[in-house]
Amino acid sequence: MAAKQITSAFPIVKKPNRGQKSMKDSDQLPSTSTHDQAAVDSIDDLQILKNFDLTLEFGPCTGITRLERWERAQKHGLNPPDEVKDILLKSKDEEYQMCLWKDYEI
Amino acid sequence: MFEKKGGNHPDDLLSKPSQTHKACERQSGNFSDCSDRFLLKDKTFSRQYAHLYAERLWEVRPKVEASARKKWVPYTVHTMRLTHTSVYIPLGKDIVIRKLHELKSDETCVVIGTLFKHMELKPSILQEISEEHNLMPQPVRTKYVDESDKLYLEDELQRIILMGDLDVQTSVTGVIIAVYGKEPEDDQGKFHVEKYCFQMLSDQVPRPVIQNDKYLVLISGLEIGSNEEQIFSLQLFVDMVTGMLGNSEEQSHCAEICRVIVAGNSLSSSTQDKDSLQKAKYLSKKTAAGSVDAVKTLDDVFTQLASSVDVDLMPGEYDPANYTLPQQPLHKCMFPEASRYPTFHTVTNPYDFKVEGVRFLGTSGQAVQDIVKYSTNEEPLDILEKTLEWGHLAPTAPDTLGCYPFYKEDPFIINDCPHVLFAGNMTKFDSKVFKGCGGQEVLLVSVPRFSQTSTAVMVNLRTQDCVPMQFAAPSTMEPNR
Repeated sequence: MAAKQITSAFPIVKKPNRGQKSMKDSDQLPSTSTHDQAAVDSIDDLQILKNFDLTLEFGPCTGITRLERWERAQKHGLNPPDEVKDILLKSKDEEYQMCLWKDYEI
Repeated sequence: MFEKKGGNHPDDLLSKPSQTHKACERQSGNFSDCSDRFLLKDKTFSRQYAHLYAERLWEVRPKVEASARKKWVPYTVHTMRLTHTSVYIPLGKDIVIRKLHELKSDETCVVIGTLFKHMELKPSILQEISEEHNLMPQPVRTKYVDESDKLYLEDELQRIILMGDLDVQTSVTGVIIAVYGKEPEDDQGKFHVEKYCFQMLSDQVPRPVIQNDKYLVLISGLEIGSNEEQIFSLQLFVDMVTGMLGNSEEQSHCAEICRVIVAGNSLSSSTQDKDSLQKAKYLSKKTAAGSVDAVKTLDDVFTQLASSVDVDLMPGEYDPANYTLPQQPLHKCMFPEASRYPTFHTVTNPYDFKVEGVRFLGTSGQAVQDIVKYSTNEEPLDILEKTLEWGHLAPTAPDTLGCYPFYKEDPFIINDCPHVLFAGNMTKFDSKVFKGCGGQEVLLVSVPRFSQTSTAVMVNLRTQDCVPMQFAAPSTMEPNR
């Protein structure tokens, strides 16, 4: 009996991911620094928005968007901080627009 | 009812038809609608009512502050030694207005906030749930007042209990109030009230002078569909307004009616039949709702009225409209015949409008009835007067009266002083002129239920007084005057 190799019955199939996985890792390394900066900015912004939500002087925050709350506070002369409005106009992301408790029903 | 000016015209009635008969022209009134704030633009119910209370406080607080500064000037009392008389010496400075979290003990100051009345007997869903195992539901009462009710003052951050001169029994939750007093050192957590005040009624726009008599008719509580419906009296009313009754003199008087307002409860509570919900579906499949026939009758009545005069139909507690205030206009598809006339309008409850420069504001009575339930006030005119003083049409909304969760505005705040304030579906007709401290004169009208009293109200736009119109059929008892 000749030595039968399993590879004659089941040929080797090279998976396409194997090579790319290592390439991906090497790709990520130089770009993390720019990602970090954007991430840090967004964390700061989200912190400012969170503080805006928690400031009780501007009234209840659940059930309305932050921009609506800002405009309502502006209308009644409560002096909401302008930087909050700038952040809200920058991004349309739900994380920014909706209040802290957006995942909870009422 | 209509005074006979000049001689009789005995030949008019039962006379031959003549070619020279003059047609009566109905008076028209300059009408403008101011109820836009009561129309709901978007309907999102996923909001809490805290926004409505916050909005109410922010909007009314500056006005209450102005009222407080005007009324209260801080003073000291100096008793003269020889004559033993007390002299009030103004201190020459302004009153101190504080928020609740800035209160200092024993400092006489003014605090502005929302009144909250804690009532033991108020029905509460939490009590129902906690008593489930005992299966003792709370009985439905006509009044939920009790001796032990307490008043709290709430601003955005805190609340404090109020003691002193403020009458608990006649107050209701939801009114924005300024209280003058202090929190004593030895009784912390309680605010001793010496004086209190509300928002000042805004200045009235003066009414223009009208040359001729013009009337506006208010009618409410037709309650079609019940055993007590007064179809004959209603037909008499329609015939009177459309000028089918009386001789030509009477008809020319009726032609001075320029508008008819139907203030709610055109259908009766028995049309809101909930029994069909309990019965099995196969039993109730073929039965039509009780309201279908009643609405057909109403359509008929309004077609007759609208063919001759402007009609505004407001929804009421028992009408097929939404439960929460402000009630939206009834859908025109319910009145296919009457809707063909441009003089037929379905409007909101509450309703705010101007005819010939006279500003009317009114509701179908739900706010007044709610205040009757949750305070010791009984007379509808007293309550209407109080709503003007408090500056709010429905202060108990949303606490005990259903209300839409507004967040941008509170449309029930009375910003412009009306000339006539009316409430429909009251037990009897009554009217009074309320004189405000700024010289305003408001006619308060309580419009009775037509099904009980067969009475409608005519308001004279020139002289701003009103008279009741009573219709008695031979089979009914004489109504009490």
